[in-house]
Amino acid sequence: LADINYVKVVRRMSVEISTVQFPQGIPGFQDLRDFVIQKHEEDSPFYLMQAADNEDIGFVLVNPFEVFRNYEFRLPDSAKELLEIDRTEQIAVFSLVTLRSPVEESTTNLLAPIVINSENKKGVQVVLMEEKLSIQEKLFAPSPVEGAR
Amino acid sequence: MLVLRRKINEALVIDHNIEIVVLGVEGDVVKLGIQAPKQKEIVRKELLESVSAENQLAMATKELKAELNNLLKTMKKAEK
Repeated sequence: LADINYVKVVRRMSVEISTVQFPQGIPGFQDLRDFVIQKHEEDSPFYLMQAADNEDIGFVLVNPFEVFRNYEFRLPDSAKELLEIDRTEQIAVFSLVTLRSPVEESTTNLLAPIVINSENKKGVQVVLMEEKLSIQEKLFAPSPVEGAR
Repeated sequence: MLVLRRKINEALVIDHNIEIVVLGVEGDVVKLGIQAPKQKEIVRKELLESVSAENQLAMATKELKAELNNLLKTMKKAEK
């Protein structure tokens, strides 16, 4: 487990994620354990995450590495243990998108990514100890210097 | 809630393997040291509450797909 330090550039992620079990739920939705994740559309960087037991609860996810080229973080040991991760190839990472009006103001949560073991289909929303990362990072950065494309 | 008084460098042990030590007090700031098994998740409570609140905001309901399609159009425009 000690080999996995920094998670960066997981660009090619398994799309065949299907149903993911979150043993702890996600903050604010602890009662919901199973979510179905599917790609939004071909050529779309977005994914949909739908609660398996409640059709009214769904989220939009994005592959953060496609949008923020410099995004990286240290995966806490607690997450590795929970998800039984022992190889980097098992890790899939998504960020929750908050759709806003107008849509140009939409943000994504880089501080608390959804991390999934794509082999055993277990997931967790990790609250990182990285002070530079924002819970409300604009998807459309005003300046290209910010790291967004 | 259990309330205990501790002096600087005094500690608490929870469940035999989690140790919390008071390292210092400066004004209204208390510096704590925590030693715990690595599978224990330790998070600042206000951060967890912010994430929880943001998750509530992020919850997308029936208009989800329409909004997402708008977002995609915007992104494609931005790329051009």
